[in-house]
Amino acid sequence: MASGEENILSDSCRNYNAEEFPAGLRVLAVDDDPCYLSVLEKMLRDCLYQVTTCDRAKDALSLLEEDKNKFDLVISDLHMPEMDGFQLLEMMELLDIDVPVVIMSVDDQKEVVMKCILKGACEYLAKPLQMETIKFIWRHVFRKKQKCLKESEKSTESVVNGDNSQLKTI
Amino acid sequence: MEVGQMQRSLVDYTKSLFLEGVLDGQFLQLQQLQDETNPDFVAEVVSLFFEDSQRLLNDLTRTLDQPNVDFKIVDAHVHQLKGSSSSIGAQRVKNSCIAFRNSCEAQNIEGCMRCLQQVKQEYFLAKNKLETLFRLEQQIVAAGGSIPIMELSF
Repeated sequence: MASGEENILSDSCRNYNAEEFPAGLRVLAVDDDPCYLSVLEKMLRDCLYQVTTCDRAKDALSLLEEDKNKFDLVISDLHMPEMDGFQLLEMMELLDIDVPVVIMSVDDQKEVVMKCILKGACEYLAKPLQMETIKFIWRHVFRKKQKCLKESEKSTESVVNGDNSQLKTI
Repeated sequence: MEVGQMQRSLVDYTKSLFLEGVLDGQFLQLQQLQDETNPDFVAEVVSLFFEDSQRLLNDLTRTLDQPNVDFKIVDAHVHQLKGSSSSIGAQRVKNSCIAFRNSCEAQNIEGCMRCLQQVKQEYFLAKNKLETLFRLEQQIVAAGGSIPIMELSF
């Protein structure tokens, strides 16, 4: 494979150890409620995920800006002072940080849920989260990886098709 | 009192908290998360709740005491309290927050004052009950017994 094509695969989707997955999933958990953040952290660790916690969206955004490839999933509270979940989603979109985001909240109004999805959240969950829900949160990462792979295959195909004419001559 | 009797008292006491609606299923989730690597998990999370709630109740009292009440700020505090109470399963505290938010939305100052009193009442009730629960647990552990695992089958 030409080095250009390798870069397409490794930049757009992180290489997972397929046997371990979803253990080791790197989750960034954001909540200004210290009480809930410690409950969520424990639940995520019990699923064998690697957890980084932030009590402010601004701090989470800084970490993501530094290196978006450091995280597989963001799980964030909605209503937070300074910067809320909506603003975090907006900033991530602006900065082209395409890590899947799960929004959670005690607020369960339909309009709020719709707004989250429209702003790019891949899931909306009512707090407090059940262990059963957390166990399957990896599916959002898996879905994104599959999408990445399909897109990479398409670009690799077009590169290979481009070279075909040269191979025939050889 | 021998250990078996203490354990039965604890189970009965915990059951009563569920039946009275002071605690809900989320509290059981917390207990299930407690393990050998985190033997004090429930007590730690609950004490975070106590700290957070005390601060929020003080802020609420102060905000409602202002000549011009900013209902947005009141609502934000109540929302936070709703969140933290639901995270430990303090059901009655959470429900009283829901009523409180309705008064905020209606910008009803008397309603808010009444709701604040109600939330404080429910909070102190939950605090006392939980402290009693932890004391019972400590007595069992001190006597060499283990904490019985609760099942929500009633």
